[in-house]
Parts: sequence; structure tokens; C-alpha cells
Amino acid sequence: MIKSHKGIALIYVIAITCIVSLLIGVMMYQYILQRHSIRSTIQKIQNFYTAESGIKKALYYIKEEKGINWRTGTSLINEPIKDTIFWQKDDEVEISVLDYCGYLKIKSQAKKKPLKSIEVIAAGIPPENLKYNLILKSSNPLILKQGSKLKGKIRVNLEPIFQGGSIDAILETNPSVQLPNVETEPFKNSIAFFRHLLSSPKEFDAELFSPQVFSPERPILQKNIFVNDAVLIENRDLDSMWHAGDNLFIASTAEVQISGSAMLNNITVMAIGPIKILDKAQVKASTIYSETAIELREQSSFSGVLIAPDIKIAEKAVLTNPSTIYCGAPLKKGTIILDNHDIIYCNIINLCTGGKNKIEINENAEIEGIIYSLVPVTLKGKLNGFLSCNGFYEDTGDTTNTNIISGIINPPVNPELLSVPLIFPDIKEFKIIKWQEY
Amino acid sequence: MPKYLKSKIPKLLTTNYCLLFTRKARFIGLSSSVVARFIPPFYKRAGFIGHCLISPLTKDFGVGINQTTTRSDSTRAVNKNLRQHNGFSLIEILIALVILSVVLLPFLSTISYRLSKERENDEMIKAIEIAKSKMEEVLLLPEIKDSEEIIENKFLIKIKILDGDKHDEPVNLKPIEARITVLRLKDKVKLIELSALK
Repeated sequence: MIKSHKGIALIYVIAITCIVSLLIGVMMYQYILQRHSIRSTIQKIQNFYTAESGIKKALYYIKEEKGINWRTGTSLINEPIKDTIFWQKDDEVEISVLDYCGYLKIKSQAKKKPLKSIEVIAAGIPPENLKYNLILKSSNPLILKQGSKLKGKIRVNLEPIFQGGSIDAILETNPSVQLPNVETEPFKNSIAFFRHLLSSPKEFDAELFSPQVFSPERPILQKNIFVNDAVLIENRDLDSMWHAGDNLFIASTAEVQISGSAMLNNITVMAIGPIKILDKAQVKASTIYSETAIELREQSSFSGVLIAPDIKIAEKAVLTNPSTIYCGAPLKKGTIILDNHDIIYCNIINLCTGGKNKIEINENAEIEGIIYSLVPVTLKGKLNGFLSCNGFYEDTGDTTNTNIISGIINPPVNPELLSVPLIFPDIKEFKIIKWQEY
Repeated sequence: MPKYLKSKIPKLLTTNYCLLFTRKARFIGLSSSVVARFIPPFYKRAGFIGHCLISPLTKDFGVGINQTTTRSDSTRAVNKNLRQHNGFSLIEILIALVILSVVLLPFLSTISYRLSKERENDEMIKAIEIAKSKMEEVLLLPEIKDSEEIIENKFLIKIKILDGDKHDEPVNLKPIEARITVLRLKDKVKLIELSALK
């Protein structure tokens, strides 16, 4: 205890000095933080525009300079381009352009800190030479059977024969009609990547050696899984949706089934065996690749890309925009059967030729999108969109001319929603179908 | 009974009485002169008050008991104290004032600096908002030319489209570049500049 008050004022002064210094310190620190935050905000905004400009520049050069190979590599080896993107400024951007299952995956990263990246998936807007409700190049004339109706714009190389069907369209008959050109490179590169992954378990976070069942009780823990056996992703409780995962990479040497009330987003599933999506399963913005077959049944729904030699959509399964079904090189077989009851929104591309390859659209099926086929199409259902093919097929017993159509072709209901894979070199405009920032 | 006990017992008893009485008296709000009347003279003479002041038991009530002291006692104590600290407080206060002013001066200047910077920060935040919204507008519009605009009578916005139509611009810059600069109107200090390809 202080017995005398001598020097107490000094103690007060020291205490006040300490408090005042502390206040000054706090204020200065606060100011520095605020200033730093403002500078960082400005840089963040500029970085966003830098990264976005990288995407625009890449798309511009892809669009304008057709002759140049704009790809910066494949999914296996990639060397991004570095560019100081603005005039007399030092903002640097790193751009990579890769094939992604027929689409383009463009990634642009602003290099100034704080780093900002934008990744987009770009599809094409259908070129003018594809915007015909029917383009047909066949050695036999088209036979329009009872019940068939064609609307819109039609180009054929031979005069059609009417057997009860009707055409309510601008009909252009030209012997030199050609199907729009296609290049298979965008799909080839992606399939090569999937095949590489299916034989490289070391590329994954985990390699498992027994059949795997993932359910709400046993959720998927790793993002990249290689299973040397079958995979089942299932939620048996059909009343409540189970969010099984996002951004997953699953490879299986056997078959894969996604069923029950399971929901998956932005996943890539590849398998040597068949892949099935059943029940109320929902798979969105994803890529499914199988060396054998893909089947969607019941009330399942899907959006994304399906690649397999044998693809079947049946019952009340639906596909939503933007979706693509692909059979073609390097796959040697291509059978696509649509036996669905609800309308599906997708593009169907079959570039396999000869043999038993086919596209079959059954009576109940209704599709909105673009169909491009190098094999005869069986059209019994309804198409709202554009179809390019080299013939139709209907088994009538008469083998002299099987170029028969009994289905309906209408113009698309929502043409602005259509987008196509970048296999058509005449594509002039792009459409961003997925945008991701990080 | 031995003599020493005779003198101790009443003293011990009355000590407790005095303490208890003083507490209760203060509690019910009796004045100090009234309290002093009830304390036996013996305890006043025998230095009871001094005993209470240093006793840990009674230190809480030291003030109350102190009030029972006679006027002459307290005056003597104060005079003695003043003699010991003669003129000290003035010097002490003067030194304290000097130190305080030394400390407070930068503090006050920091506050005013901070306030001015606060205004600058607010201005910057506003400039960022303006630049961003202007850039979005420019990127959305199909055709836009170089222009200048004054906003809120505080900011000058310069929109420059680098499309090669002027001699100081690069030719064949594709895709064209849009540059938004926000300046403070009064002194034309550049606050923010954003660039983007259109």
C-alpha cells in the first residue's frame, strides 16, 4: 500500500500515456487495415476483369483464327499461355484451353495477388448451316408415312414421296446437299483422357479393391476414387433426397449404379462396365463415360454429357439442358435408343457408321435439341429441333427402300436455349454453359 | 481479581461495543457528533481511534470512526501533512501537464489525420462502386465511345475505348479494351482505374 501520495501524478501520466499510445496504435492499425483492404478490393476487382478478359481473348481467337490449333494441350499435358492482356499495363493472365467432352474448358487466371481464376465451359450456338429442321442426304428418296409431319425448313437431295405424311415447311431439294462438316477431335481427346485414367489408378486419391456401396450411412469421403470393382451409390429412402457429393471423380473397372434418391453435382464417372442411373437419382452438370453402355431409367434425371457405345434412355428418365449424348470415334459402336415418356432436352450425336449402329426414337419419345447422325435414324416419336442424317430406317419388310419416317419434326420451342458441342467447324458464336470462379 | 484484569475486562468489552455502535450508527445515518457522544472518554484519550485505523477489523469503518475525532486533532494532522508536501502539487501538476501535452499532441494530430484518411477511404469506396458499375455498363453496351462524366460533383469518370481510332491508341487491338478511370474532381487525382476486354 502506498503510504504517501508523492509521485502519484507521474503514475497517472504514465497510465494516460499508455492508454493514449494504445489508442493511437489501434487507430493506426485500423487505418492500415482499412487501406490494405481497399487496395486489395481494387486489385480483386481488376483481377476479376483480367481473368474474364482472358476468357474473352481465348474465345475471340478461337472464333476468328480457325486455322490455328488454339488448344493449349490435352487434359494430360497442358501448357497454358501467359499474356499481358492490357495495353501498357502489367496485369498478367494465364490461359488454358482444353477439350472437354465436345465442349471447351477455358481457364483463365489473373496472376497478380490475390489470385483470381475463372473456369468456363463453352458450347457453340448452332451455326446457320445446321439450322434446318431436316437435312437429309440419302441415296433413296424419303418416304413420309401416315402420321408423319415435318415443319420448318427442310433440305433434301431427292424429292420426298408422300404416303400419308405431310410437309408444312420450306422444302429445298438440291442433289448436292451435304451434311454439315464435323470434327471428332474434341471428343477424341476427352475419351483418350478417360481411357488413360481407367488404366492409371495412381492418378486417384484412393484405390479400392472390393465392391463399394455408398449411401447416407456410408458417404463418399474422397473426391477421387478408383475402384477395382463395382460401385453402387444409393439412397434407399426414396422420400428424402441425399446429396451424395459434388466435384467427384469416380472410376470403376466394373459397373456403376446410381439409384434411389441420390443427388450428385458436377461429377465425372467412368467405367469399363455399364453405368446405370435409376429410380429418382439426379445427376447434374456431369460427365458419364462407359466403355460398355449407359442406361437411364425410371424417374432419374441427368444433365451433362453421356459417352458410350450403347446408350438407352427409358421410362420417365429426363435429360435437361445442356446435355449431349455421343457415340462416335474412337468408339467403334454406336447405338442410341430413346424410349422415354417425358420430353428430354439434349443433343444426340452418332458418328459411327455401318453395322448395327443406329439412333432409335420410339413412339412415346419427345426430344428438343439437335440430332446429327451418320447412321440411319428411326424416328417414330417427336423431335423439336434440327436433324441432320443420311437416312431413316423403318423395318417394313420391303428392302428396296427403308428410308421411311413416321414421326414428327417441329421447330424448337425454345431455340435460344440450344447449344451444340464444338464439333461443327462453322460455329461462329459461343455460349457459356458453366461458369465457375475461385 | 488481579489489578491488571480489572483494568482489561471493561476495556475489551467496551471496544466491541464501540465498534458495533459505530457500525450501526453509520448504518442508520446518525451524525458524527452524535456518535462521538456515545463513545466513552477513556477510549478517546487512550487512542482508540488510532487503534481502529490500523486494525484490519475496523478499517472499513475508519472514516466513520475518524469523524469522532476532535477538531484540534484533525487540524494538527493536516497542517503536518501540508508542511511535508509544501509546493509539491504545483510542480507535479506542471510536469504532468507537460507530459500530457507531449502525449496528447500527436494523439490529436493522429485523430485529425485519421479523420481525413477516413474521408479518403469513403471516397475510395465510392469511387470503386462507380468504376465497377460503369465498367459493367460499358461491357454490356454494344457500342460505346470515349467519354467523360461528372458524378455527384465529386468524381470525374473517363471512359476510354482502345479500338485504334486515335493516334495514341494501339492499332489492331482485338478484342477492344475498355478503360475506366475515376478521378477526384477538385484536384484531378486518379482514384481508381479498371481495364477489361470488351
